[in-house]
Amino acid sequence: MTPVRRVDAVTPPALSSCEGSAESLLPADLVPGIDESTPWAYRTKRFRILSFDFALRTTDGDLGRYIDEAFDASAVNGEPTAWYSVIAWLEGRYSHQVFIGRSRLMSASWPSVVPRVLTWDVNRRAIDTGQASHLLLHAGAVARAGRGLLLPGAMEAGKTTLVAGLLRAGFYYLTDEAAAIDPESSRVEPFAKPLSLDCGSWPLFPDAKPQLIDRAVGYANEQWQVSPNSFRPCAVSSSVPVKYVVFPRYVAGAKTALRPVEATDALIRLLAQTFGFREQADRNVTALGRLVERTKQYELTVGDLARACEVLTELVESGDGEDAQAALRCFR
Amino acid sequence: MKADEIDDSFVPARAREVAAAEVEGETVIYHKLSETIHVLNPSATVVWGTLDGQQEVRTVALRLAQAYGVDEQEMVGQVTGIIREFGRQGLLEGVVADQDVVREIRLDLLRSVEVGGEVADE
Repeated sequence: MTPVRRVDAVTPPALSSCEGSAESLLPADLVPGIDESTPWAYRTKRFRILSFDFALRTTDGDLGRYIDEAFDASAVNGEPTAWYSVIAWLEGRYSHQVFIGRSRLMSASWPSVVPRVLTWDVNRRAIDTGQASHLLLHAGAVARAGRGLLLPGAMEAGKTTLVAGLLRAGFYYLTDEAAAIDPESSRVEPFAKPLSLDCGSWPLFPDAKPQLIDRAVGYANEQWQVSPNSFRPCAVSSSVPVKYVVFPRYVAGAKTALRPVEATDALIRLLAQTFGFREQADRNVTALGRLVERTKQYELTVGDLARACEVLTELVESGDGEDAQAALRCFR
Repeated sequence: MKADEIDDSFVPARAREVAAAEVEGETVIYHKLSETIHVLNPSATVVWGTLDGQQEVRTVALRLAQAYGVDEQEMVGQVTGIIREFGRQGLLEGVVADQDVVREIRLDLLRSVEVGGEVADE
């Protein structure tokens, strides 16, 4: 047996949900900026995700109400540190101008890009500012019975769909995109952004349709930004210790099955899903080692969402002991 | 120094550019400069744990031979071989990595299967 072997690549994870045409992301040179005379129609509540807090003001009340509803799980009192400003329905080529502070973030050619880019930018800033204090993994995360379940996966791994299914099955929400782990305690804290549900998942969750979508349909004709509280009230968990790490793998038509993953393989997979891994490699490797030592790791082949949710419910409810093996036997 | 020149009088120390974590008896090492990942099996993990930049290979090997009840000369040979392998992979201070080995690792990384395999959005 070779004493030293190599295994996997370290490719930094990429954030989901910032698509749209390149054209729509080009800055516009000939549109007005924001000033004291801008007729704001709506100001949202203040929201905080990790240490990034913000609010949005907009000339389109429908957009403002949509954002208020989507981010309601992260609403906090007080004055925001950062303001997003959206000027809607401009003449000519661009439909919207989006600013953060007085800097132009983007010029959109059509409305649906706006909430996606806003959510993407909030994620990015929350992750950037949160890296100093947290290990941030590209992962969904939910909780049940005080036990945290991480679902690490690359973009398009079906994390959001699985998290939404688990919410519907009674789990509490922590995130669908970036799991914030305390490096010392391995507790996962809420990163309560809205769930970004692509249109392919809408038939699975018709009840999650944002209430205001009919008035703001242009903002959500490709992706819904869904509050976790739309699944049920008070759906966001407080900080919990991570007990399980499950790598989901969606395979159309496959039998849904859970199998254990070796600790070193789990660590390497997690390493590849760590935001800003290189910048704090020493801390992150140590924190991932602790996380793996304190958790059980599995890979879940997802062929059927409802079945996958049953498997994970059984796993988490079986607790920390040998009963976890029962879940494996049940669904093997 | 080249890895092949390491003998039992060598005093090995871990490279400064590595970050490591031990889980369930194995060790995962990330090399910050080459951006490679190395996994040590339990035997190599034991040897890795002794690298403090102060003890000769022979001293380490004799202690391990005593602890595990293994023939001393056999253990010196095994430990020297493992430490040479550390050196070839760029994990030791003052030992030039074998670029062919590192290149091979990097090539393997490029070919490696992405986490999740055939993943699709549901």
